[in-house]
Amino acid sequence: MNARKVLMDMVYQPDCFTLRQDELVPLQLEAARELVAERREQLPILDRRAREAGVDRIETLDDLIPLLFSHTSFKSYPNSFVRNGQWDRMTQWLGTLTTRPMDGVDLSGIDDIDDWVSRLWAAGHLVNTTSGTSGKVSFLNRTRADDEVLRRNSELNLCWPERIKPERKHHFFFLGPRSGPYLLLIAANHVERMFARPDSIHYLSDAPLRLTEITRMAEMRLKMAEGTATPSEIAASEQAGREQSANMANRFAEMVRLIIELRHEPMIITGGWLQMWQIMEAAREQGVPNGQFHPETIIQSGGGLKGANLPADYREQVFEFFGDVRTQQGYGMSEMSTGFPKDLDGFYHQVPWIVPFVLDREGVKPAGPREGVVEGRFAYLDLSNEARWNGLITGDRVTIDFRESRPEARLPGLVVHPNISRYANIGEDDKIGCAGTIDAYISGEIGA
Amino acid sequence: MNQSTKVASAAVAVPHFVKGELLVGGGGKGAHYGKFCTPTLDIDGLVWQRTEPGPAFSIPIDEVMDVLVATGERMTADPSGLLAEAFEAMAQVGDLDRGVLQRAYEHLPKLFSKDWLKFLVQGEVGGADILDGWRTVTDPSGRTAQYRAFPPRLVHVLAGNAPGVAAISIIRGALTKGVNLLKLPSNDLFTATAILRTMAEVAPGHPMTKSFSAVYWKGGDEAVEKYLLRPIFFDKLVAWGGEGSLRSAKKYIGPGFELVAFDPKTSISMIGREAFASSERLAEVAEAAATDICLYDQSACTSSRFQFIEATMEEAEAFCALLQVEMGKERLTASGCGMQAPSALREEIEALRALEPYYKVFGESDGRGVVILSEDPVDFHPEAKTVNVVIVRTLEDAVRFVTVATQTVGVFPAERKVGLREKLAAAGAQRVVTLGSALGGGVGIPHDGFFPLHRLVRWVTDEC
Repeated sequence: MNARKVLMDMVYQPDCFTLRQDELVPLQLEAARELVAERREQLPILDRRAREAGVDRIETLDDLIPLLFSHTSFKSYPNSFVRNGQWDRMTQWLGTLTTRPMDGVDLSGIDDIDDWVSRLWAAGHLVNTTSGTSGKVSFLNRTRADDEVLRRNSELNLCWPERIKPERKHHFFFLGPRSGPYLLLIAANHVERMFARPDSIHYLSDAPLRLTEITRMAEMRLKMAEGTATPSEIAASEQAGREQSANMANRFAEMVRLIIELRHEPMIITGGWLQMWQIMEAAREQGVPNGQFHPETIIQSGGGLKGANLPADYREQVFEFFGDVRTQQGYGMSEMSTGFPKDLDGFYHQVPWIVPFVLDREGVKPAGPREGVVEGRFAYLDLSNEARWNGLITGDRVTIDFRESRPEARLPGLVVHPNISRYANIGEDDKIGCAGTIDAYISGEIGA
Repeated sequence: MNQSTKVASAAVAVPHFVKGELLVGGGGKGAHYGKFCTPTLDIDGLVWQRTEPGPAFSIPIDEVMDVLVATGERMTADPSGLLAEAFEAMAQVGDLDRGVLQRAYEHLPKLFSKDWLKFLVQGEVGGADILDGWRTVTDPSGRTAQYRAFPPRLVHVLAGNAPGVAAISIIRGALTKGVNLLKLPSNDLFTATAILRTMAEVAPGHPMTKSFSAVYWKGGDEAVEKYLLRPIFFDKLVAWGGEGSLRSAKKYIGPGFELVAFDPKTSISMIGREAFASSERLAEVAEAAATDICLYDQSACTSSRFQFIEATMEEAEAFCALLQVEMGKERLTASGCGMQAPSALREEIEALRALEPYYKVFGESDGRGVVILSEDPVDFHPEAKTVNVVIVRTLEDAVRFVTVATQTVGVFPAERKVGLREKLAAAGAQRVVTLGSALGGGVGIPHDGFFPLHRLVRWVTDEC
């Protein structure tokens, strides 16, 4: 049996998120060696990187660092391919990052980027995308087996360390669209099919999430850069965003009403922090006291506040309102197959098939030896992915605790501390140069 | 030795220059910024209160020029080794190649020559008389008025990608006779201070040296900027590029406190089909193009990043191959092998390399130059000696890629400039040069769309 499979099958072990490093590391090393050899054959981009970096042998986990990509890799396609509807070229680009042949994708009569993504899914390339705040979305290919890793982990480990069994007894509320290629949404769909009461499934909108919206904004940005946008086009672009939120507001109010009505029964509510806050405010207006929700209710939240002005202790207030309920929180990103789940003391635990690294600020070298408590830039190699090479250097500043246990926490194992922040973007390090791009003149000027 | 003192001694000590005095920090005291440390900032000491005129307000311009010329001469001889010391510190912590930095440092004193100072004053404010006194005009109704370029109170947010920025800022600041607070960038913590120390040596205690301070604080630091960047202390904020610094400065701009921005810019080249007249001609064009691309190893606003070329695919490929070789040669303002491109850019390049035939990549991301040939401009900002050659039908077609962020457009052959320059200006470009001549300029003629000295001074009138 190969080491990768051993690591991935650990998902069936009750203690899979608290295993010792001396048990995991030898397996991870062996699995990484297998994977690197296989992926170098499949992906010329990785092979080239390995040759350039002179990575011949993998003796330690740190030897893998030169093979980790930046997040740019998965959005390195030229925007003109999308703009000009050159879906054959987009497919070819995705192929350079994919281990599987792309020839099964039906490229005839594609209208837009959402269409292209559906064709990829139809051909077994279950890509997920990022939200594209930079105007460009990443395309992260997944096979059915990769999707199964995601599903299986939800099935076995929802609400770890106090797991909940999939008995289809929860009301299901998802404060977002019913379908779309976001990992959060794909994961929610899995949870729905395994945990939700078939008679009580509620999404904020039945229309699928559309990437066309994002490309429309990217196009607007381009028009502004080229100087062909008119003032009213810019205004209309902002207006479109606002109208969409207004439509959503009615449907949201409806869902909140239902959530409050069903609060004494187990339910799963997934949404952003701001939405959780709004549920709380609506309930308080109706005189609903704190702590009335069913103890098996699951609150899944995350994400930023999108500029909303909430008090600093908004999370505490939200949980005080819901009361003694379950939560499912983790540290991860759209690129990772599985988030590091949060324990009851606030630490995020390593997933056996994902090797974490702490790099220096520049993301080049290890920030220190893999022992004790090390602070630096988070990077990882996800050994599970079949569709692509999933080694990535992130922009997150984290503290990783390599110790087997720590006095202030109940559960052992490698963890990421709760104090996660972002490294400054280029330009924020006070290195000032006179060169710059048109983006500086337009960014932030169209409502996102 | 405990951990904190170890860190402190490893950090480079950055001196401050405040109103003619040198302040040295370090030794565990002062402010620490990771790789370097500075003396503790005394923000009261950084303002010249309006209750009295600035120290140099009434110094004759001839005397100002004499001090500048003497400063330049001493910078060349450098008997105290001040410039040499700054150069060494920069070479160790800065981003520029040692050879490029050395040649840039050798060039610094040239701007302090009498000829250049006179040319600057004549070109940018129309004569030295107006810096010393009043110029009289009579309007059509017969009413007379006098006006002069009055010394301003300036905060300069310096850029650090080329040491010339510090030199020209000190020259212009001195010529205004106003007071000048220079905010140092983390990528050039030494040049401005070395020049000011040299000035203090040639003219100890002179009002001009008392009119300058050069200090570091972290751009955006509210504890400093919120209190210093106010109209009660300063008239104008002079900002060189740096999107981040402009965004932070924007908060403080308002009535009485004006922004003079050398905006962040991109430069491009336009190459006509005339380049392919002969193989010798093409080689010359490739060399000229490489010169403009590799300015300060492509860190400057003047450095070209896109080459729009009238060519067939085969012609363009021949040009790209020559260009890539030329980009690997050491020049006055370019190293043969510069810094390796950042990893995100390398990955963008590798992705395009895999997309042949739509993109063709020449060279490796090893610091010697990468040329990307395509039919549409790439989405990213080419830097670290990376250039995008884009095939166009005619150079006029390429004008649509020119924006308000376009600074210099290098054109080959020179005769094509006349036909293009109005169109380029209409689209937003500010400077048209013959290909290969992007370096220099901006002194005594408009820079970034204005006459800098003219913008720095305060124009006051006396009317009857």
